[in-house]
Amino acid sequence: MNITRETNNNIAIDLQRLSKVYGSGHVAVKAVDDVSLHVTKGEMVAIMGPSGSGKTTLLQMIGALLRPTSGEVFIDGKNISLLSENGLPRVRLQNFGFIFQTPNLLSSLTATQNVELVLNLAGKKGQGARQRAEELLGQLGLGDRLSHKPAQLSGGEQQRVAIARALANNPPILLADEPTANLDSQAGHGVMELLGKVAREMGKTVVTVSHDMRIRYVVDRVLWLEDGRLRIRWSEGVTIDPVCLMIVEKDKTTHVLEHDGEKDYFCSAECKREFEAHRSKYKDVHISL
Amino acid sequence: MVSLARENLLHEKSKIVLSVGGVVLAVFLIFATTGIYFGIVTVVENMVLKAGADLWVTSQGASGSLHSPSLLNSRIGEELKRINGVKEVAPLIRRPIATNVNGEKLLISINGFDTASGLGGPWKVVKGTAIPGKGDAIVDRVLAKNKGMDIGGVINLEGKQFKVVGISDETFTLISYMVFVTMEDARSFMPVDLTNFFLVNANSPAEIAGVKTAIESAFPAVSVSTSQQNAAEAKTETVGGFLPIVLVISAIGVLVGILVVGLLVYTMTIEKSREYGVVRAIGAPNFYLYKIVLFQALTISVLGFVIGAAISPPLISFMQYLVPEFVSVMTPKVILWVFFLFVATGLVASFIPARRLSRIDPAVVFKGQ
Ligand SMILES: Nc1ncnc2c1ncn2[C@@H]1O[C@H](COP(=O)(O)OP(=O)(O)OP(=O)(O)O)[C@@H](O)[C@H]1O
Ligand SMILES: [Mg+2]
Repeated sequence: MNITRETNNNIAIDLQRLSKVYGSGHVAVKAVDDVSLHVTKGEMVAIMGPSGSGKTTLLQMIGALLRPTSGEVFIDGKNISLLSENGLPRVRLQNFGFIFQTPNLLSSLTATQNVELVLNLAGKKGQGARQRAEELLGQLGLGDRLSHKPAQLSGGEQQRVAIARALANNPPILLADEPTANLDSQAGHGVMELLGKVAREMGKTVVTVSHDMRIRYVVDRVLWLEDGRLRIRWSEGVTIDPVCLMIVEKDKTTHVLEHDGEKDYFCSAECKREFEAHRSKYKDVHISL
Repeated sequence: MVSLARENLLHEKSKIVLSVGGVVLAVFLIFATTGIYFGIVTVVENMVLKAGADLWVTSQGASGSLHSPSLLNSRIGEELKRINGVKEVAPLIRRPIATNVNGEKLLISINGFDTASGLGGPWKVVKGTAIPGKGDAIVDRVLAKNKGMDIGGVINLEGKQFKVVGISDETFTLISYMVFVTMEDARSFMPVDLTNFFLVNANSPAEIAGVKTAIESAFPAVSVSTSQQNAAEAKTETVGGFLPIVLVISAIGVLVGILVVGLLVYTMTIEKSREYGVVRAIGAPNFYLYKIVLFQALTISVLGFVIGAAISPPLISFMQYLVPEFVSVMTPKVILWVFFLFVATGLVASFIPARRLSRIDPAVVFKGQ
C-alpha cells in the first residue's frame, strides 16, 4: 500500500478504487463501488445522484469519518486510509470543514462560541480565537447575531454559522452534504451562493452533495453517482429524470413529455405520470443539458 | 476558551439544582452519621482522657472504663499513695444504675469522684459549678434538657434526692446519662468498701512508666493502663459494633451520590449525544469529550459537597435542638475524608457516560434530525 503518492501536488483529493460494503452475507450493501476520482486544489465539485446511491457514504470516506472496505483515500498526497483510529480526529480537524444537511450547531453555545470551539480544538485560544470567530460570522452576514443561540436563529442563519464553523480553522477542503436540503428554495439558494462565493474567494476545494439542480451554476463539475458507481459526466446524449433523478439516455427512453417548448425525459411511465400530476413540485428540478 | 462542559451544564439549570440537592442530602447523611459516631467516640474517649489521670488502676481484665466490671478494694488507695513516684491517687466510682428519673426508667451512670483533686469530675461544664458538695449533682445536658431540669432543680435517684448545681456536656453515651456526685454520696450506690477505679498521677511524665510497673508488681491482681490505653479500650468496647453501621450508611450515602450524579451526567450525555457526535466529527479527540463528562460530574459532586458541608453544622444544631440525643461532631479530618469521597463519586459517576461517549458514531451528523 502507498503511504504517499507520486502525484502532481495540485491534487487535493485522490480516490483510488474506493469501495464500501455495509454489513455482510446476504444483508451486505455495496454503497460505494470502485470509485476513483481526482479533485484538484481549488476545484468545486458537486456529487449528485438518486437517494441511496452512496453520496453520503462517499463523502464520509473522503472526510475520514468512515473507513473504506477497499481502496485508498489520499488527501494532499497523504494516504489517510492507513491512519489509526486515534489519528483520524486530527486529520479531520486540519484538513476538512464539514457542513451537514442540518446545521448541527451546539445548542447551548452562542453563534460565536460555536465557531470559537473549533478554533480552540485546533489550539487557537483566547481573545484571538474569539475575534476570528466574530470576523468570520461578520463576513457571512451574521455580525448582529453573534450572541444568539441556535434556537434564536433561522434555519438559513444557522447554516451560515455552520459554514463559518467549517471555515474557522482555514481547512483546505470543505465537505458538504446537502447543505441546503432543509432550507426553503430561496434561503437554500442564498446559502449555496454564499458558500460558493466564500469558497472561491478563499481558494477552497469543495465537494458538495446536492439534490438541487441549481448547484450546477455554482460548481465547476458535477459527478453523477448511481448504485455506488460514478456514472457519467454531463454529455449531450443523457439527461436526468426529474422525478427519480435517474440518468436517462435520451434516445433510449420512450417516456418523453413535451411542454412549453421543452422536453422532459423519464425512466418509466410511472415517473412521467407523477410529474404530470405534481408538476409544480418538480419545477426547480427541470434541467436541460 | 469555550467550555462546552460548563455551557451544557448551565443549559440544564433545574436538573442541576435537583442533582446538587441529591448530593447535598447524601453529604448531610454522611456527616450526620459519622458525626454521631465521632460524637460518641469523643464522649467515650474524653470520659477517660479528660479525667486528668496518668494511669488507671482497674481490676484485672477490666481495663476499659465504660462497661468495665472493675471492682477494687477501697483500701488499696492508701497503699498506692506510698508507691515511689506517685503524686496523687483518687478513687472513682462509675456505676450504671437503671432507675426512675422523674417518672421514666433510664440508665444513669453515677460518677462519684474525689472533689478535692477534681480527678474524674465533669470536664465540660456548660452551666453552674464543676465541683458538687454533699447532696449536689452535676447532670448531663441531654438529661437535663429532656427532663426539664436546671440549676437549683432536683433529681431523684433511687429514692435519694440531689440538688442540680451544674450541667455538663459530652456526658451522654447514647445509652446512659452521666451524673456527677461526691465520692461519699456515690458510695451509697456501691457495696461497702468497693470502688471501681483508682486514678493515679505520677510526679512527672518521665516517671509514669516506672510507677506503672511498680503498681503492677505490688498488686498482681490489678491492671494498670495509661490514659491513652484505657481510652483506646473504652473506644473499642463502645463503638466497635457501631462502626460497621456508620460505614454502611456512609457507603449508601456515597452510592446515592454516585447514582444522582451519574444519572444526571448520563442523561445529559444521551440528550446531547448528537452534538457530541458533531464535536467528534469536527475532529475532537475522545479525551476532549471525556473531560466534558468528568468536569460535569466533578462539578456536581463537589458543589454538592460544598453546600452539604456548609449546611450540615447548622442543620445538625437544629436537629440537636429538636432531639437533644442527636449528638454529632464534624471533625476537620472527616470533612476532608468526605471531600475525597465525593471527588471519587464524581470520578466514578463519569465513568458510565464516558463509555457511552466513546460509542457515539460521528457519522450521525450526516443523518437528518
Ligand atoms: N450505516 C449503514 N449501514 C448499512 N447500510 C447503510 C448505512 N449507511 C448507508 N447505508 C446504505 O448504503 C447505501 C448508500 O447510502 P448513502 O447514505 O450513502 O446514500 P445517499 O446517496 O447519501 O442517499 P440520500 O440522497 O438519501 O442521502 C444505501 O443503500 C443505504 O441504505
Ligand atoms: Mg445522503
